[in-house]
Amino acid sequence: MGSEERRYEFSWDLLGDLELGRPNLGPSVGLEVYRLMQYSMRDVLEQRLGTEGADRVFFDSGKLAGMKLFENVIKGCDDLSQFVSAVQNALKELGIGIFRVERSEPDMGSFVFSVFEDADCSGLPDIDHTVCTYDEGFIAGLMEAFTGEEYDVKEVDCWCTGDRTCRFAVERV
Amino acid sequence: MSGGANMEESGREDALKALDNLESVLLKGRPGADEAISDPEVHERYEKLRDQLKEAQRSLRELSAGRLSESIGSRGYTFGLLNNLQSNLLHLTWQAKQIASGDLTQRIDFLDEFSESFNKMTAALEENRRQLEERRAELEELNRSLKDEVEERRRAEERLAMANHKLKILSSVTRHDALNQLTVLQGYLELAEPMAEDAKLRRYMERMDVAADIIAELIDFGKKYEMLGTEGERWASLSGILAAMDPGPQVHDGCAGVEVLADPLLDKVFYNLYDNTLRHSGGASRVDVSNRLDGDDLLIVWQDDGQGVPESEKERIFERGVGKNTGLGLFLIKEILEISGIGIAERGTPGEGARFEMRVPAGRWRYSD
Repeated sequence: MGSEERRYEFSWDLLGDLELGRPNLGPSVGLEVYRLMQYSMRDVLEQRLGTEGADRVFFDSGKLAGMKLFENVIKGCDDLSQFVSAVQNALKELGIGIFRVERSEPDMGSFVFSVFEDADCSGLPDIDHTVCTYDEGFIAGLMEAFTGEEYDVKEVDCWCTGDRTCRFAVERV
Repeated sequence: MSGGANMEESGREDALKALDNLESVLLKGRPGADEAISDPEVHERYEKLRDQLKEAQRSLRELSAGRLSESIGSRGYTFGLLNNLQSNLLHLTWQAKQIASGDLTQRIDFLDEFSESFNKMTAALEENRRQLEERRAELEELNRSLKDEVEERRRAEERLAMANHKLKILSSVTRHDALNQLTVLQGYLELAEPMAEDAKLRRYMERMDVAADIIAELIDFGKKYEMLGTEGERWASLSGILAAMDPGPQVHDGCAGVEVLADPLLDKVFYNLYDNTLRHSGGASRVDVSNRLDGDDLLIVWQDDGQGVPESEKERIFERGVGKNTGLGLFLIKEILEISGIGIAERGTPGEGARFEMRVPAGRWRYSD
């Protein structure tokens, strides 16, 4: 599909003017609504594209979101410390999760991040597989926007696997 | 007892044995000696629970020993809590490393009292560093100012040295030319003297001759004063200086072996004192130069047997221009001595001779062998 034919190419403007649009209800929506949208969409995507295809869509969507969040909210960071602090603040302010760094080897392009109280999964029943595919893409997008290099992100522990913490192994491609 | 009752009793025993062993694992870290549980299903579940409990204990042991890289070996609520603990400890370790590398922006959220203490600590460290950096910036600014000041002073010294050099050349050339002309003047006066028959003219010529002598002395003073302090200090023997006095009042040297560290013009001090005695003592016949200790100082005394200095003049005789001749003799003495930290005062009794006392501080005098 050519770009001229697209209706929904992402733009930060699509988030709209929250104060203007929601003078009474405000900018926040219940977490269950977010999950309702995510898991219903995931259901349909899986039916249409299969599990791997649905995960791919989620990863890519998360990556796009991570890159756009960096460009529009986090912005210029001179070093890893600034980047981590900015991501921590942004994720806390937006209620996405509590972001922490467990290990970092910037020269090797290798990191382990964790997200507590993750909006995508915390509190979900144990289902014996990780579910935070969108977060994987989200972190990959943040890292790529920050470093200019592509990263592979894999969730190794998840609330849904009974680990109560989402842990992500991040490696430069 | 019926078969059903036996089975019920046996099942109860198995359950109690399993519980006892689990309690033992929980409290002692190992099961009891008897783990024989007859019911296979109960035995299997007991072993699973025991192993999970032991795994949780192993993970706790690793974490409590600070070994954070071992993965938590199982899942579920309890292991999830251990996983949280491990993740938090890893994050704190990472933050400690960041702080050690100078990143004091680190803060911790949602860890209750620990967050509060940690954040206070990093905030305090950051504030301390800010203050240190402020202080460093102030010191750098001060250092810059000092450097500028030193540089300005260096330039001023250069300008001063240049001006001084020019003055010296001017002074030297002028002195040389003036002395030449003075010699010419004195020569003509000498040639004219036999031709002057008029008494009044002869008196005038004598005065001109005296004036020429004074001019010569002034020129000599200028030369000496210019040299003052320019050639460093040296040890000088007082006896050596006194021995070179011109004939006149007899000088009695009571300073044998005394040496003084002073400007090389020190001999001029004693020459001028001698000249002062010659000119102003009203006919002194004897000068005694003596020395005595006063604490750590050495007092050198120049005493003549002339008319002395009137009380009213004692304070002023060392000022420039005060005196009957050039008014520079005693002034130069004071300047030469002062530059070497030696004081001088006139303490004689009017009518009983002049007495100049020179106080030489410790370290500036010695007795030679």
